[in-house]
Amino acid sequence: MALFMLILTGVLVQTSVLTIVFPRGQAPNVVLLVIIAWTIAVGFDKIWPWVITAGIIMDLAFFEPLGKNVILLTLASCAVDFFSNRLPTESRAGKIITAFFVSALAAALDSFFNIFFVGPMPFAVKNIAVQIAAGAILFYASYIFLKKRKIA
Amino acid sequence: MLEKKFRRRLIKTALTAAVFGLLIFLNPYSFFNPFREILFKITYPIEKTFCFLSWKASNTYDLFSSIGELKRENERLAEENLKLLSESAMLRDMRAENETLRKELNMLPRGRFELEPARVISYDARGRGNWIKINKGGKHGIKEEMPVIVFNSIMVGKIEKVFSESSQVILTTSPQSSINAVAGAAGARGIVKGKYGLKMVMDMILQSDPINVGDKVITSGMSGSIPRGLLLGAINEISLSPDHLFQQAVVSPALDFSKLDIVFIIKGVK
Repeated sequence: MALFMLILTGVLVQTSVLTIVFPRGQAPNVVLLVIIAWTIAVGFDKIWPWVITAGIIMDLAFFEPLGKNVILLTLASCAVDFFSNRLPTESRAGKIITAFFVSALAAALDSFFNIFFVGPMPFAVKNIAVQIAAGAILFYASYIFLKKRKIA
Repeated sequence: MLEKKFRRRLIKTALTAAVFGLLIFLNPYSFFNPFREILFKITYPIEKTFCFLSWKASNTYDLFSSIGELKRENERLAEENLKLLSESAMLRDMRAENETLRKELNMLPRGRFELEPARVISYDARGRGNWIKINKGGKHGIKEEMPVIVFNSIMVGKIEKVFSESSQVILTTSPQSSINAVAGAAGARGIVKGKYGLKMVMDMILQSDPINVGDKVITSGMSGSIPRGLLLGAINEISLSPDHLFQQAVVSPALDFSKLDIVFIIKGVK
């Protein structure tokens, strides 16, 4: 139940907080970032059912075709799991580099899925830079939290 | 061992992608509406609180980042400008039609809408400006296709999905939106469609119809429940359609949809 509430909160933060604080496509995909952080912290196998649950909630809340975000989150989680051991997450500098790398990767993956399913969107460097920077902070915070709690 | 583990993961991923890919392909969109209804019932109070707090935080930040008094003055002037814009569009339209024609065509009188105020509780999660969710639904008499306005006559969108306590509004800038409209003093007719969630394109305008940059674009009253005379925006670019048969105009919305907080739903005419 606690995990379900955590996912639900992430989805609501996306629609009712981040879209106001970061308008015009600057908002990072917070659930995607949390799922990636969670995968790095505990591994894909332990969280697989929650990845699907998160995707379904996102699809329902975002008025998108059911399955779109499930596939996005599953692919992202599985892909990150393959190279998560190689990410420098021990030192603080390593964590920051990882945060920016993961945030950029999440933004690219998210944009690709949106272009494929929703349609093209004008490209603005400033928006992408803000999205990556905000995403890196969100990823860093969620990784530290999930690593400490070892939630699975 | 490691290979077996990887294979298992790949099977899980492929299975998920196959099952949900099939769901996307079949696209049973309305089938999941009861599930959406339940989800929105649970999330409604949280969404409302989150949205309210975010607006407070956003407004506080705005206040600190601008020069206090100037910001308030600017907001007041912007609001006044919007009111004047919509008033001017309405007046121009009114002058162009005489009362006889009005009666004959059974057009709706202006300023006499039965309005339902609503607060925006969530926005397009992708930041594309395609939709908003409001805190009024079937329980409040909201029905699909009802137009949504601000400042009495600036149209922002129409109701797409109705839940018991909330509704989804498709904004006029969404590619899903398509509205019959008229532009300029000569009343050039066309269809306004959303583009990228940022602007609109007025298409299918006859080449013989004169339109100019700056002309106001208003609803024609020919799109189902949408009354005539609601301001959609102003023309800021004119070109020929790709097949060179019609004129096309880029229409800028009258206000920034990412700043929508309170809207009004036209339920009918008094």
